[in-house]
Amino acid sequence: MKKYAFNEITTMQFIFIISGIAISYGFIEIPQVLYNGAGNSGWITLIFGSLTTTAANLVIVQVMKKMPDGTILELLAKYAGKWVGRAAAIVLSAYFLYFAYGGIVYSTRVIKARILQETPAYMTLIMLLIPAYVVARGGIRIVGRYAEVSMGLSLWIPLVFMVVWGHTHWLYLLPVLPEGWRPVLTAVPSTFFYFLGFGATAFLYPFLKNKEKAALGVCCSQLITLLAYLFITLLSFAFFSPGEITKINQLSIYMLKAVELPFLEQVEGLFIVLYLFIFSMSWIPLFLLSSFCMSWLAGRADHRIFLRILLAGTAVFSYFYVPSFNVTYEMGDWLAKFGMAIEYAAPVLLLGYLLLYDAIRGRRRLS
Amino acid sequence: MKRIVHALGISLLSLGPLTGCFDRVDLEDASLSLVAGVDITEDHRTMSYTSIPVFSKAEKKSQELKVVANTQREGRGKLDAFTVGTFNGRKIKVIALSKRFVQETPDWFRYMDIYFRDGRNPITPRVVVFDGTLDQLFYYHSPNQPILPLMLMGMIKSASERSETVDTTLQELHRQMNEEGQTPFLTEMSIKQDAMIDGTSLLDHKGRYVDMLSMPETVLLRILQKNARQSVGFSLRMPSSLTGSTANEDWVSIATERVKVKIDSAYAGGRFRFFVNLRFSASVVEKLSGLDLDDHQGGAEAACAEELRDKFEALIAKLQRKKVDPVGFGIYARAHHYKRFKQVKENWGEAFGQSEVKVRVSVGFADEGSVK
Repeated sequence: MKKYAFNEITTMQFIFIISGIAISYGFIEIPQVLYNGAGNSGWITLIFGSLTTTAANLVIVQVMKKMPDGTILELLAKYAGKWVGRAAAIVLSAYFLYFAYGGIVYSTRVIKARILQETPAYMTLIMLLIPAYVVARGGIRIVGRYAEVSMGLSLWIPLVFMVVWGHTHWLYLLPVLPEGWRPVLTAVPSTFFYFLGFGATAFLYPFLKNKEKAALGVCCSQLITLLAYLFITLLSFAFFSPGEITKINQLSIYMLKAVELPFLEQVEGLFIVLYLFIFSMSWIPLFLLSSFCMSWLAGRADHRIFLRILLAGTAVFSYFYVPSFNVTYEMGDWLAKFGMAIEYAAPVLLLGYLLLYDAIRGRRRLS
Repeated sequence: MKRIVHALGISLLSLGPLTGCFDRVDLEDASLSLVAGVDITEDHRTMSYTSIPVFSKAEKKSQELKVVANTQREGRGKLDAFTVGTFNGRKIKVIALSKRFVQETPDWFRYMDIYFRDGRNPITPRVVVFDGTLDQLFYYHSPNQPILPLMLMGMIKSASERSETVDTTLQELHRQMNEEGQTPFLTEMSIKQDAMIDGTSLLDHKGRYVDMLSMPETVLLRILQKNARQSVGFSLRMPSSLTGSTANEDWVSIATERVKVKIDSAYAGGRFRFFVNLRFSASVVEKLSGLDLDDHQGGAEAACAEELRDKFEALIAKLQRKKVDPVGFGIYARAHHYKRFKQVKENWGEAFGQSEVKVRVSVGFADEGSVK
C-alpha cells in the first residue's frame, strides 16, 4: 500500500528542504556561536558538527528503511505499539510547532530591528503567516517545490557577500588552534542547534520518489549546509577583529552594513527582505509537519484544517505577545535541548531497538 | 468556485496589513543630516553639530545647527526642534570630531554607540578629526567650495585615493578600537587658507589622540598597511657621487607601478622583531640631473631604495617613539607568535615601542620615460 504515493517529492526537493530548514537563521547566527566556543578555529568545530549531523541523519535513513511506505509515526505504531505512535505524534507535533514559532519570531525580530522599526511586531509576524499558509496548505510536494525555488532565488547571496571581500584581514584566521584541540571539540555540541531540522527526513522519506537515493540526498544536503556555514564563518572571522566579533549581534547582516555601493544604500535591508525566502524555510515546512502529525493523530488525511488552526492560533497569540530578542535566544536554547534529544539521540536509540527487535523476532522464528 | 473564493480570501487577508505602513518617510518630511559633529564646550559638555542640505531656492544651500546634549541621541532630539522635517540620520556621510574632543574626553568612542546599536544608522560615514573648534568648520562657507558635506566627502575621497590620508569609516574605526594588535587612525583636517586635509591622526588603544602624520608620511603608512591605492609618487634625492653634478638638487621622481610588501615576524631576546621587505616597481617620471639612467640604472635604483628606506625607517621610529601601531604589526605578531603576543596584548603599543623593526627596500625601474 503506497499511502503517500500521490505526493511524491524528488531527491532535489528533499535536499533543499533539509538544508533549507537548517540554514535559515543559522546563517545569521552561527559565526558568533563558533567564535564564542572555539575562537578563530571555530570553522574546524563546524566540520566536526557537520560530520556528526550527517551520521545522525544517515541513522534516520536506516531507521526509515524498515518502513519504506510510512512515516516515523507508522513505524513506531507498528514496532512499538499504537500508543507509542500517538505519543510520538504529540511530542513531534509540539516540537515542530515550537521550532516553527521560534523561526518566525526570530525573523520578525530581525525585520523589526533592521527594517520596519515603527511597525508593530505582531503585524510583521502576521504578514509572514499569510504566505506560509498559502505554501503549506499544498502539502509536502508544494513545500518541496517552494524549497527549490527559494534556494534557487538565493544563489546571489554568496555574490553579494563578495563585496565584503575588500574589508577582510585573512591574518585573523591565524594561528590555527591557538588554544589546542580542547575548545574546538567541546564547542561541537553548540553547533548542533544550527543543523536541526534533518529530523524531517523521518517524515519525508515515504514521499521520496527514489528511496535508494535517500542516503545520497542526506549527504548532499548536509554538504550544502556545511558549505554555506563555512563560507559565512570564514568571511566573518576575517572581517571582524577578534575584539569586536563578540560584541556584535547578527554578524552576517552587520557585515553588509559596511558595504557601500554607488547605486544602493542599506544593502543589509535588501538582503533581509530577499533572505526571507530562506528564513521562511524555518517555519513553512515545520508548520506543515506539525499539522501533519496532528492529522495523523486524528486519523484524518487532510492536514489543512489543523494548519489553519495552528496559523490562526499563532496570529492571535502574537497579537498579544511577541517574544523579545533575548527570549527568542532563550527559546533557541530550549529548542537546542529538545532537538538534540529528538533528532540526534532518539534515532540512534530507535535504530538499536529496531535491530534488537528484529534479532529477537528472527531468532524466535528460527527456533 | 472554491478556488476563487480561496484566492480572494487570501488576497484580502494580505491587504489587511498594508494599512500599517508605519515606516513610511516622505522625503519632504525628512531632514537628512549629511554631516554630524561632536565637540565639547569649555566645561567639557558634549555638543552635537549637524549640517542638513536645504532643497529650496534659498540663498544658503545647507542648514548648520549645534546643541549641547549629554548623548548623541539626546542631541538629535534637540536638533529636531530646529529642523523643518523629522531629523533623519540615515544618510550621514561624515562624522567630524574636534581635536579637543578626542584629546580631552576619556573613552570618547562610546559616544559613537548610537551608530552601531540603532540599526537605522549607517556605519559607513568617514570619521574626521578637525583641528580647531567645530564652530569654525560648520559655519565656514568657502566661496570656492560646494556645501560642507560635499566639500568634506570630496576632499576625503580624493586625498585617500592618492593615499595621502586614510579612509577610516566608522566600522573600520570600530574594528581598530577593538583590535589589540593595531591602533586607530583617522583623517585630520583643518582650516588654514581654506579647508584642507592635514594628514592622519594617530590614536592609542584607548582612542586618545597621540600625534599626527603628514600627508607624505601617510603615503608610507598606507604602503605598509598594504592599502595604497593606485600608484603613489615619490621625489627622491640622488647622491652627488652618482650624478656627478655639483648642484644640491639632484632629484628623481618615480611613480610606483607595483609595491610588494612582506612582513615577517620573529621573537627573540624578549622582544618582537619584524622584517619589512618592500619591493617597488616604479617608472621614472621626472629627472632633474644629467644622470644617464641607461648606464647607471643599478646605481640609481639602489640610491632610490636607500632614500626610501630612510623614509620608512624614520616613520617607524616615530611610531615606536609614540608607542602606536597603525600598521598592525601586532596582527602579524598574534598570527605567528600567539603565546608571546598574549603576554603583551593588554598593551601592545608599549611592546611595539620596544620591538625591533628592520626595513629592506629594493627598487626596480620598469620604465624610464619617453626621453633619454
